[in-house]
Amino acid sequence: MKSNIEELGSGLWKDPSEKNWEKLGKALKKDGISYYKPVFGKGKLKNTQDLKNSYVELYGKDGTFVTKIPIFKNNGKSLRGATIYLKGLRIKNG
Amino acid sequence: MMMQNLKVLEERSIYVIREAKTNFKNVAALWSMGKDSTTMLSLTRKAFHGKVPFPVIHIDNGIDFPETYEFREKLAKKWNLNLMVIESEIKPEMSGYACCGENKSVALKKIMKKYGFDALIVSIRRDEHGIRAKERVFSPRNKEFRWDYKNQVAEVWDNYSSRDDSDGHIRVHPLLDFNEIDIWNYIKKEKVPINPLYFSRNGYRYRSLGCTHCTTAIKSNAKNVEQIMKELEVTKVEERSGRDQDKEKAYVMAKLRALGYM
Repeated sequence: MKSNIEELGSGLWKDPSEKNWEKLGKALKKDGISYYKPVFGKGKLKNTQDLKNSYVELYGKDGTFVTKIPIFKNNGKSLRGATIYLKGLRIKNG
Repeated sequence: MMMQNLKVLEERSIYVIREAKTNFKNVAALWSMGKDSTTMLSLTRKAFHGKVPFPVIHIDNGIDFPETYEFREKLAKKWNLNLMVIESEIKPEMSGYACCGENKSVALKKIMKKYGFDALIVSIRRDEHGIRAKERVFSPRNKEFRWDYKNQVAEVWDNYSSRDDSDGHIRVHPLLDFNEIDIWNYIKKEKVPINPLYFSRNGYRYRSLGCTHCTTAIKSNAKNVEQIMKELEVTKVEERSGRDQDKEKAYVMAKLRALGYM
């Protein structure tokens, strides 16, 4: 069975709306997410497709992998980054 | 000797910042929450008795590190900054990178026009990148933000030309003569608050901060300013080696800067 964060994460891949991001942002601490790790997609953000291929991995307090989420949100006709919703998390280096 | 040098650099920067505030009607400063622009704000507070007397602009593409956003909020409150957050969009296939480059320049152009800023304080340093080494302390940009780096006024014997004859704006670079170790020395001396990502966690730290997906951490065990300075004394790796856009050929950076990028 999928956890709440996994559900919200897969919801973001389908619809990266502000509303869905806010839901995820609120759930992070409550659901014990402590760390994040930025992961490059195939490219290096040279175009929008690279941005869509890149993601962030979320980890729990004990460092176990929970799920991966996109890094952008829909902003009308354009895209905006959405890492501000991960405030409170710490980077997982290494 | 080091402290004497630092004193000279500090005095020169404070002079430049005061000169900018005096000579221009509407000044603003760019703040990326990195070590250089935070040092610039600390110098500004010193120049104006604990205040930053102009707006501080963050051009936010939304892909900064979460720790960077936290640091922004904490310091803006602590130092009572007039913070303007400008949201830049990510549009496909513009020149440079999807997250910065032309997209950030477009956002900056809009805000400069809206508020009529005639001078912009930017915390670049000559030792960061070959193209930045060509900069002047007071550097004119035309209406289209273009930088004519082949036709610049010489700043001989620290004689700066802060008069604006351009139809655009002036970029003011008070940290141009600092190098990376000078910045860390200043941070140590003045106890400047710093983004925690610069310090090692699990054997890695960020030496130069950009967005989450175009900056990579370096292997390092430096957990405080003293350890960072020791590390820098022996390193043979360039400061911005973790910045993806700088791995491109120099002309890409030259092109970005000529178009108005920081």
